[in-house]
Amino acid sequence: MVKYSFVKWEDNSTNPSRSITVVADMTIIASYSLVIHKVMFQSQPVSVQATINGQPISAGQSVDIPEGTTITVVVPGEVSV
Amino acid sequence: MIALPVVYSNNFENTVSPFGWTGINQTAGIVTVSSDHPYTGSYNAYVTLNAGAVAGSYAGFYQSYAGTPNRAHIFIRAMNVMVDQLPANENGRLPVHGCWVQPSAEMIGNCGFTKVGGVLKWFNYYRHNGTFVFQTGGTPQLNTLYCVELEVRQNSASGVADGAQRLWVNGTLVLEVTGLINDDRIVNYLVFGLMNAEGNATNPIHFWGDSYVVADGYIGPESGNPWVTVNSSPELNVPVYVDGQFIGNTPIAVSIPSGTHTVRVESEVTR
Repeated sequence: MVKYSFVKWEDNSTNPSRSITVVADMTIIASYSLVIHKVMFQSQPVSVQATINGQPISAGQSVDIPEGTTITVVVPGEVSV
Repeated sequence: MIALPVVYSNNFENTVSPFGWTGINQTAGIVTVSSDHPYTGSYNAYVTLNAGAVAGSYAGFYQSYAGTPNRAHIFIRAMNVMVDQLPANENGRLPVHGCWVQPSAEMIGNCGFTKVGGVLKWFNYYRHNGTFVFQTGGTPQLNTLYCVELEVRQNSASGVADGAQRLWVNGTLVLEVTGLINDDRIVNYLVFGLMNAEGNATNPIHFWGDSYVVADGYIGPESGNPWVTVNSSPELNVPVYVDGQFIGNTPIAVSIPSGTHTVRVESEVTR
């Protein structure tokens, strides 16, 4: 389950509530986009590599994740410095 | 205000055969479009069923239907439906709408005109537990225009008695049956006109109909108001409100009076 947010109507108005004047058959279109969040990975006190959903990520990097998405983060159990 | 998710519509304004349908069946008559009768200025479906045609004769329109992927809950409406003759025999059928399964050519449910006690009646013909049941009522008249709407709701799972079939005439519920185990097979074929009908012994039977609509919800008589269609991109089945009233989810069409109205969609949806 992911979240979508209203963006605009086909006339580029950006309020999800709009006024229309009906004189004949017409079609209106509401555009939506995924709600995206940045997930930043940090590690302390040492910088390690991890994976998010199987994709490598380094400390200090971020990935875009749609809201509502379940992610799997794997970090190394032990590190040598 | 009428709102519905439209699956298919045909006003028979395209006079090129087969008039926007998959095809026509003229086994026992002639199928065409006409502006001659019962009114002018707009074309309508026009069917002639031969005099002496026996029960099960065919003259009408047909098309494939894929509006509901599994068990159907379908509403079919036509305006200006009229016949001018009685069928030859008691309980002879002059179907208006029908839902079928192909390629086995089996009817799941249909409705239309019949003859009971020598007079015209409405009929609802449906399946229950593998048996066809014939339900009649109302007092339609020959040579009179009607809005005829059929609802067929297939039972939700095998053996579950929650199917239904309803017939509305001019927006009034005339015949209704619920608790049906009507069929597990997919409705994939719609017919309109005198399909699987019985003729009149001496005169051809003429059938007229227009403004055919198939939808996922009750349609009702044509209001004459403009239609506003609301879609979303991507298609997310977004709830829609018109003048503060919830009307359904996209894609949806709503018939509302001319003038200024407020349309609102949900600002966030989770799918």
